Amino acid sequence: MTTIAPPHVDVLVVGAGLAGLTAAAAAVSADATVTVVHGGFGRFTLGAGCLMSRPPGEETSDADTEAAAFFAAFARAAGCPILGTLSDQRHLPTLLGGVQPIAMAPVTVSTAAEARGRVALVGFTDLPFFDVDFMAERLNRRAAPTTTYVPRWAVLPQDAGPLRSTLHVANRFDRDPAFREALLATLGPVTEGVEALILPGCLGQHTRADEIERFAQALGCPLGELPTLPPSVPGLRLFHALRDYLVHRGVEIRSGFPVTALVREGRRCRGVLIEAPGRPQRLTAGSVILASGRHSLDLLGGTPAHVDDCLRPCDAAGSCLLEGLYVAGSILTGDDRRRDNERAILTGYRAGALATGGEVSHAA
Amino acid sequence: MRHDEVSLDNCLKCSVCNTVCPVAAVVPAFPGPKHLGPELERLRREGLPCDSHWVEDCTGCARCDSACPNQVVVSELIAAAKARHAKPPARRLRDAVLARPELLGRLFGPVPGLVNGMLRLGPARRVMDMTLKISADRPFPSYARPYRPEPAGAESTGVDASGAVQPGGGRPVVVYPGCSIRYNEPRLGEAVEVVLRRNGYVPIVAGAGCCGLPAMANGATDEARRRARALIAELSAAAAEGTPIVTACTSCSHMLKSGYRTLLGDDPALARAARDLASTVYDLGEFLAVGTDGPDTETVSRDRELRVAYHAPCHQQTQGIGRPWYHLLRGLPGVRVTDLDAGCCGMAGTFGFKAEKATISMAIGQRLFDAVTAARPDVVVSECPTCRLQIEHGAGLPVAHPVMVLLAADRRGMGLARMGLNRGAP
Repeated sequence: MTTIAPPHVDVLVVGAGLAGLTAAAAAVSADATVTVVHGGFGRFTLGAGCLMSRPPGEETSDADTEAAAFFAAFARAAGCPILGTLSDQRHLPTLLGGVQPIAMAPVTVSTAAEARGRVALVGFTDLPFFDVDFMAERLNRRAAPTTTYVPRWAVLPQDAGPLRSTLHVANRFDRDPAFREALLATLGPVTEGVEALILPGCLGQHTRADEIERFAQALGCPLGELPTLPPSVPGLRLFHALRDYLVHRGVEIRSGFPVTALVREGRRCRGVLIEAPGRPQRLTAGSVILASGRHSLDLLGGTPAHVDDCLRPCDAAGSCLLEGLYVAGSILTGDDRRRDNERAILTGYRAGALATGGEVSHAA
Repeated sequence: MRHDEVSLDNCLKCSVCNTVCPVAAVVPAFPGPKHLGPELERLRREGLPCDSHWVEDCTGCARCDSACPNQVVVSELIAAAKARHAKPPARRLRDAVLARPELLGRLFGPVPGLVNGMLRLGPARRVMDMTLKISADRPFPSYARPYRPEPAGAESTGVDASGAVQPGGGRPVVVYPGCSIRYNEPRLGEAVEVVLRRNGYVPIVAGAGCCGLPAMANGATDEARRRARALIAELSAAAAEGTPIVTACTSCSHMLKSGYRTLLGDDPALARAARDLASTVYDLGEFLAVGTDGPDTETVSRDRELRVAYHAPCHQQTQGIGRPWYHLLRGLPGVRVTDLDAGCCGMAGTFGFKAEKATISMAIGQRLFDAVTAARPDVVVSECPTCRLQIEHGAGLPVAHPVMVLLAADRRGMGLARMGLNRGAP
């Protein structure tokens, strides 16, 4: 007689934002069994998952470089590469005709930041929020002389009724090869006389970067995307890619359930409770990584999270409050919220490594 | 998601719900869960006109609830709008019929051969399509002689399921079969009993009728409440004893765990009874994973591994129990399991049978059908009976409940051949 052993979980990650997903990937790469439990999509899906540039002159430690390289490799393996380094200062045009300094960004967003020469900003007549006339006018006043933005308008294929948001375009792009062909035909004329196109993010939620690259090759022109107001397709695409990759690597993901309490055994964290319908579910694990944002501070007693060198919550004197618990991401105190994505991948990577017995190379 | 103290004001209009909606993915004109749920609910609370025919197109998959970063239970708001929505007369009769699978089962069960033959007749189906608006392109589930025992009336005092050890040893477990097992898949019911017995339990099959989810999904709130009250009356004795109530249908367990509390929320006593009942309900896979040290099995040796593709039903994912069957099957020697992980199948209970919805239903399922084709499995498994119908129809492969694979891998009987799944057998 055989009994089927219930699956053992080494690491339980709370949260599916950049911090949680990176922590899960780091734990999986150390051959741990991992479960992710989360109460909804992470905040980075509202943008594009870009890392903002650091202030000029800020040092990048070896440990930070290692974490960034890990994240880049994770995203590449997931089919949604992230380009750039932590010290990059690239200027990404915005919807309001401003520029945002970015360090690391998904490939199409990087293309938008690096486009030089005559660059077409392409708006769709059905999506007036992406007002390329307004954007080009403002951008050209401030852009470097190496780049001129040309506003161009295109009409979306309307065979299946009006497409009223970038999400509608993305859903068609994901599922319908005929729509891609029609979009290609629509975009063909606007490539004339320019060296790159920049579109509102719309090239599929589930489409891999290599497929988008093939689409750009068919168009014969580099194709950039900008994050838009939510739903922002480049951020969603990154989320789905990272999540799907983790599932493929055997990670169990329980979606839709915020953690209501930590399971404590003396001074050790043994797992979490989620409020599942019917009765609470107790999820136990060797260690727990809390990466579910600032609102999860309640689970730590409501005070700002102080952590020791190993990302374990500690008191003001620096002594660890709970063994087996690591925190990562925006729950950690930080003064610059624009750098939450950077903090997420740096601390997520470290927490994943620490929770699986990895070495500690630097302070948080 | 939080099923109590639903706060509409939690909705920040971030549109994450719209990004995961399977209907919105294939119907560009569909306004999406954000509009049909929180936005229209706000108007309704202000007493403003807010009916929308689009609520009929919501499949109730609840993927919006799982994605919402702020725990708004979007699908319940849409279900409430659906209940208020006045359907065109042509669809009312059809939906009233589809809301009552138990009635159909009682009518068809005594003469399954005749009914199955008729439901396969093209002309008969075209007449049904024209009159009832039930799609002629949809294979109907086969009816069988009902699995025992027949449902008792709502006045029944409940099953004998005291917590005491039963004669013959073993702890008692109430098996709630649901309509699909009772009227369409009695052998699955037998399989559930066999597995429970082999793991030291004494299965007691409840006589309770339909859980009421089809009624709720078709906007027949009164009927759904009647079903809920009847089921609570039937099962509350067992629940009070703390006897586990196990079902092999994830839509039934979803309804028993989440649906009743919303449905009966305005009656405190019933809502309390619904909560007590919910706390004792288990999906079979969940029960085997937590209620045993790991299910017993004596595996057959096989010269080639059995390739199994697993589809997680939407209503399993709403339960916060993970994927117990995926892990249980992965633990079986000689079986290789792939999680298809391709979203909603599109059938959504009775949704896919409706003539005007059939195309949407199949379009939603296409991603899943493609994933099945790519996985090239010997058998597809899924806990939900209507997901199984959809995959069988769309991907053209045999689809079984995962417990059938667990039993197929066991040398003590119910082998692959008997289940018509013998392609991977030695």
